[in-house]
Amino acid sequence: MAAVTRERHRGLILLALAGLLVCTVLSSLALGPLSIPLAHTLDITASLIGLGSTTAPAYELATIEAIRLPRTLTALVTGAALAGGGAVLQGLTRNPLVEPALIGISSGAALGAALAIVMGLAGWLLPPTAFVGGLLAAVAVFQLARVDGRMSAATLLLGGVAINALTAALLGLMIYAADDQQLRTLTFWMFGSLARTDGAALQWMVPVVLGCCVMMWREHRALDALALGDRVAGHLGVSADRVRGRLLAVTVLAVGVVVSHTGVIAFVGLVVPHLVRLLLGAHHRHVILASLLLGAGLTAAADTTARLLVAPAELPIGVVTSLVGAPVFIALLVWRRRDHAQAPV
Amino acid sequence: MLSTHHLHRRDAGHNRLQGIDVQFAPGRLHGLIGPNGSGKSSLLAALAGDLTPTEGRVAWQGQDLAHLAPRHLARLRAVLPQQLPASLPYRVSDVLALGRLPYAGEARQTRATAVRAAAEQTELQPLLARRYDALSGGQQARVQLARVLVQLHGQPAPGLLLLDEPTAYFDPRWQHACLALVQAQARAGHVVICVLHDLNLASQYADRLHLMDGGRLRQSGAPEAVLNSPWLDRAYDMAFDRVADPQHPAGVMLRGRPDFAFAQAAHQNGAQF
Repeated sequence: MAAVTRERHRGLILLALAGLLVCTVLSSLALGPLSIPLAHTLDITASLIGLGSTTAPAYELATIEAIRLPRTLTALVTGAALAGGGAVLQGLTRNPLVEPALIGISSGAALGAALAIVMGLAGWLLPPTAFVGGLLAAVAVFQLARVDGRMSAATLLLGGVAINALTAALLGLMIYAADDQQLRTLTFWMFGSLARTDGAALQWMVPVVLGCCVMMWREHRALDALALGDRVAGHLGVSADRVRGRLLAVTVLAVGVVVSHTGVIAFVGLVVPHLVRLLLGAHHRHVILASLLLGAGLTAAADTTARLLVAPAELPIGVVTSLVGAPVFIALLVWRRRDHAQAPV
Repeated sequence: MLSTHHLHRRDAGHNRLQGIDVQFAPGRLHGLIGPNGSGKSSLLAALAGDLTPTEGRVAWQGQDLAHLAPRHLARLRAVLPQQLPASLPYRVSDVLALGRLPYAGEARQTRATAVRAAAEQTELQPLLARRYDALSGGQQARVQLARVLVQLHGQPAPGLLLLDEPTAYFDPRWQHACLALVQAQARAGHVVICVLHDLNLASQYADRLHLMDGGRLRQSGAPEAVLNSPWLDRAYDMAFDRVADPQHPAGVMLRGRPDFAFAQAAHQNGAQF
């Protein structure tokens, strides 16, 4: 009976998260220097997904279609990739302090971006260069973490720390070599922004990240088994090496694709899975799904905030996520320390 | 029937297993005994498919264990490792349900029945809603034992149950309860192999004993034969007194004599302080 109540409770929380996501999407579409009434926003959104035609003014339709919708979609896929990737990596390493940046993706992408900017290639070439940088760094971490053909959680963390240190050093060299204008471009890239993604990039970003998210969720049982340790997971028919390989590849792809376009957005991959575990317990069936929903919603909300706070200018989104994420994370740590045994499961 | 054929495992010049040829018949509780570092856990790991032999093979019903698909193997054999997971942020009922992982797609009702049966056998019902991390070491060990029983629940015999020192965390009552549960699995027709340090418990519950020493299998046979053998004293490097077991006419109980070399040395060292 208690199990049924708990399951219903979880269902309600997931529903609430989905509702929150819809609200943040609508506010992200409606709010900005030009405020669009909610009725018009709903009308325009319905028309854009093929449900009838809109009677809203043409300039409102143009604002949403050309500017806000691509940006909101970018926020959604970015948040989902970062939070989903964070949940997966925390499960794989059995370490709640891990986030996608740890396996070198963000620092590698930053190094790739810096290289492009310093070499004067900072146009359409920047995202592919950043993606390759992130991919190479992640591959280097995996190679370093592989001992006797196997990768353990501990070696993965150590490999991540080592490669992040190396990329940070190389990034320092790039910063030293950059002129003032390049330095400014690089600094802003590293703070993160959702304004850089165009419709053409979104056409493939959305399906790639969605596919990755589905693959993350499909492995929820294997992630639960890995909580018992690699060996016991093996006894339950789950090959830790294969699951780790698949999930790392999916995470690197999803996070690499978004980070190479948006730059570094801190704390989403760390804080969201934490919050979700507090709300729903540690089962990955719920943790991954809820992380995707909450990550997408919070990133869209953070972007709306970044656009509104200093309008008509805008704050870098990475600054907003850090300003909110760091205190939340500190609060979570204090809460856990005080009340560890009573944490919901 | 589980059998090993000329099983060798070498690691960095050290022979962990040397030419092990042994057969484990279903319906019996097999005890693996021997001193620390004698190769018991290595043999169990090889039998579980966790340790790849350098030479030789492990066969289940004549088929090489290494060739069985992981999912198939997981439905066939359950393993209780010696070490407990350091941290597991789940409720006890959820940890037990993880035992049904190899049976993806089975009815929720079947899973619930398996969990309930194992919880009853291990007296875990009052703890099912508790968080695993908040339990004592002995209670956590009971949860892990129950998880293994959940995994084997409903599995047609012969299945395979491997346990590495299952009684290590338990008080005397649960040491006996644990081995009685494990023995019941053997009686149900499964092959049950259990690493044991307590020779009296081994004498009381095992149907066959296998004595390991230096990576070799020194002796296999009925408990009284192995426990009465001089190989036992030699393997443990100490002298045992054999006493008749009041409960079993053929049984034997062991008492260690405190006059072996280590005790003498310890005594001499103690006298110096």
